[in-house]
Amino acid sequence: MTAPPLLTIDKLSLDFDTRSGTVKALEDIDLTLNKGEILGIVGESGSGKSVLSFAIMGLLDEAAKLRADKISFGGMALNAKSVAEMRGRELSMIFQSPRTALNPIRKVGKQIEDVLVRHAPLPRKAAKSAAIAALRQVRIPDPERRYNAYPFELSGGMCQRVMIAMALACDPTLLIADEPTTGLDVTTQAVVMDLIRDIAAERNMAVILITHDLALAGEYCDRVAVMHAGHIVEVAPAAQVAQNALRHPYARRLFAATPAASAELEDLAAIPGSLPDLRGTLPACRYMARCEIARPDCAQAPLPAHDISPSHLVRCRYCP
Amino acid sequence: MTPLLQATALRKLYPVKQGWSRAQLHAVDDVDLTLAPGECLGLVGESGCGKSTLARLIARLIAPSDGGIRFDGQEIAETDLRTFARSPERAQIQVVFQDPHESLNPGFTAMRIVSDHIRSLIPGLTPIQVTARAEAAFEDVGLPLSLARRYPHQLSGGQKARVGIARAIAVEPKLLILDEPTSALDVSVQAVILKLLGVLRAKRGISYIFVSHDLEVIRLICDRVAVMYLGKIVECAPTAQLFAHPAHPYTRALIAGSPDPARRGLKTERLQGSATSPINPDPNRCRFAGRCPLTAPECTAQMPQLRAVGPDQSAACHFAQSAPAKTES
Amino acid sequence: MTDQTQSPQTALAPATPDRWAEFAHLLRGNKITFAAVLLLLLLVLLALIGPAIAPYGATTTDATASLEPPSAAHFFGTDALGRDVFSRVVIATRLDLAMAFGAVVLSFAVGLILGPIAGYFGGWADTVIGRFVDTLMAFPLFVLAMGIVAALGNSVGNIVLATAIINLPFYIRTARAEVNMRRDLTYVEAARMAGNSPWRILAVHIVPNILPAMVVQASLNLGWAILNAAGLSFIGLGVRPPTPEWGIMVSEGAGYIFSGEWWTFTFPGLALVLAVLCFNLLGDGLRDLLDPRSRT
Repeated sequence: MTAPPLLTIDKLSLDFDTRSGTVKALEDIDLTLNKGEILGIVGESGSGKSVLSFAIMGLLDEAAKLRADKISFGGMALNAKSVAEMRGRELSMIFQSPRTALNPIRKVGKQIEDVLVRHAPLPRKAAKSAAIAALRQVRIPDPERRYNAYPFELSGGMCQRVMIAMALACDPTLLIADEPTTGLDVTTQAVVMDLIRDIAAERNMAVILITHDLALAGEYCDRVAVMHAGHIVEVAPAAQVAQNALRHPYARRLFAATPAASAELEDLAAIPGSLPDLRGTLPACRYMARCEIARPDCAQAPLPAHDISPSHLVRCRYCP
Repeated sequence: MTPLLQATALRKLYPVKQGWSRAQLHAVDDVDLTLAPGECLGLVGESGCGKSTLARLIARLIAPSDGGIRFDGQEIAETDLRTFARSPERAQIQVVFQDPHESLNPGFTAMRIVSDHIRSLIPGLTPIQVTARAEAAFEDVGLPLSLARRYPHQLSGGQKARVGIARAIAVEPKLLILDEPTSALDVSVQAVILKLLGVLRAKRGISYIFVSHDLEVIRLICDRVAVMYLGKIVECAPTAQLFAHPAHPYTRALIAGSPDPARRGLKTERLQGSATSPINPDPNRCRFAGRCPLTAPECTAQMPQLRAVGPDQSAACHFAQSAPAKTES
Repeated sequence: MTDQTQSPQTALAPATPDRWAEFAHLLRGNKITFAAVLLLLLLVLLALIGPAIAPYGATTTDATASLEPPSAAHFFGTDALGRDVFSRVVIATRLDLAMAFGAVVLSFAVGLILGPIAGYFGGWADTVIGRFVDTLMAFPLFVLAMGIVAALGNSVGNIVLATAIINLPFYIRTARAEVNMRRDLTYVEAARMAGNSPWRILAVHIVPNILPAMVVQASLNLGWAILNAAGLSFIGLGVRPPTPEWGIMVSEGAGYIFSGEWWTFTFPGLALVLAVLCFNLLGDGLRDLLDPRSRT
């Protein structure tokens, strides 16, 4: 594993200026992602997981102040200009609510064609067969017929597969999937997630899966990063999730609050307190106020990442 | 023991236009259901399977097209909705709605939301009694009274969910119908609310009908589970039995579809396609046929009826007994 | 049982809603709305005390000083009859505002009854009210107002009535849409479940919540109502001369466009423009205040 990582993020911080003060949405985010790897970013609402994906994709608005020691992608520094060029080429993204992301009055096949043609000029006929091939690749049954379907004629799972087909049209090396299965039924979710995992493996495509569901990330990802209040508190191999071997107090609590991980209602753990207000001064460990093992010096920076193993980092001084 | 609730041949059809002709959408089709006092029954299934419609029928929020509901020894399905809403039984069956935000009047304080409900359903209370009841309900759901003066938009998601529960239990119902009460909440808040519901049930002895698309939530909170598919109950069993030995292929697919980190890297057989249309379904064909891995000729010739396949366990599948009863875990 | 233990600073919003503090904050952030509020205060002040501060009487003629350009004695000059334009503009404020407010209050009230009925009950009530609105909208609205005043007679009351009628469709539509949106929300269902009658649900649970949208509509409408009332007077179908009214003054001054006595029509016209602008800007500002979705 000496190949350079596909994506490296060093000390990324992000502030939003609002009328009620500066919101420190992300702070000191360090992240690496290898080629073909599936990384799950897990957190509850307000943890900053979606903002992080938007920051990587360069999709932030002007109120956002981004600082980073380094963001590099495939050996190139990512900045506002280069990311705009890569978006839709090396970088692709899918969102939740696929139906609203599709043009409601254009056939899905045509929409895929549009992306294909924009990426590489193709004669119209070749574009059509390429679009049908793309539909087949995301395992849409009867792709010749679905080519002519409008989004409203397709189920939610089917629409998400169309979105995936569009995201794959430019052969990206990194796909960011922001809650791709929220709102889908469990059986459909499983099909869509299988598809993402298999395509990532076939194409050696890296995936960042943004999700609130630790169990889902644990099943499908190679590594899992747990976020809390704008910090990545733990990065661990996903196998650690199933073994309940996460170390950070918040990550452990989050796991214990997941119904899939509990045998009985009594085992289900609540997480005390709520997210801190991200305005104003915050302690170095933003989980401190909710943490059962917190000590006074948890408030003091710097808060070093403490490595359990080279692939397992925890941002906590006192976790076991 | 006499059941608290017994629904027989409950049916809800919605007229729809299909092209030029009129058709009927079978939202809930010929459903039988019993609920013992103090029991918690889970209703699970994918979106559009009719679980919410069934819950709303039992809650008497909508009128059934056909069928009966006996509640506490009384037939209640025949009373029309407006009359029922003013009858003393109304307070006995209460609902906790899905979206904790949408289910609270944005112009009322939490206190007013709960006390207005009490006043409407239990006539003859003095204002002091109403307030006392509301305060007791707030205490039971763990909401500090200082928050009771707030408006919904000033409360967090979990607090709003508590207000919704307080409103329902403040009138001391025997049956609480929970329609996806935690699906809009974060996992940590969901955990809090689920535990609260567990405590309330033990403390007040209320029966629950718990509607959810999340099998894992159902597993934690329910005694018995009814699995629905396209308007029909396809399997009903005690929770432990259902998870250990699911008899219906759809139940197996649901269980296999729930994300489980322990299944990392395993290739699981998935349910392909989506449900067929609930509009004018063929009465002689299993609703799951076509999508089902077991589909055989008899599945498209005869609709399988719900039948006993084990102690307390029933399933609507021709192959319910012959199918291997195994789970992935 | 733990998410109740919030520290005060993590609470999502202050415990007591302080709309005024928020309004003040919004005004500071939004200079245009602030200007509109100042302008509104000025207009209301003029309407209240206009006759007292006007240097001359509204109908005081002075044949020796007709069509004089603006000067220290006559800020806005004088008209053909030697009346002080400034005094007339100031005194007219009360009548113009009163007509607009009267019309808006009338259509607001009727719209707040008919719209919710159509939106909540649907069915034939919706059809009847909907057709009524469609019928009104089928006319060019100003022509309709002209017709109403012509039929009923030239009086302030009839101008108000005509303006109210042509404004009515907008209130009915807004109220209908807002009620319709809320009719099937689960909190309304909970109210229905509690045995509330449809009328109580409308009055207690729905209508109070649509008021913000209606107030924005009213504010945006005020400007239009002023224009409409002034327009009717302008074409001679409204208030009669010599009553000071902006529309009449513009109408009378219009005769001097080519002869160069610009002050006779410019100042009452400016008053109209400012009033209309003021209400439109205020409407936009109110929308920002009352509709949290449009806030940043």
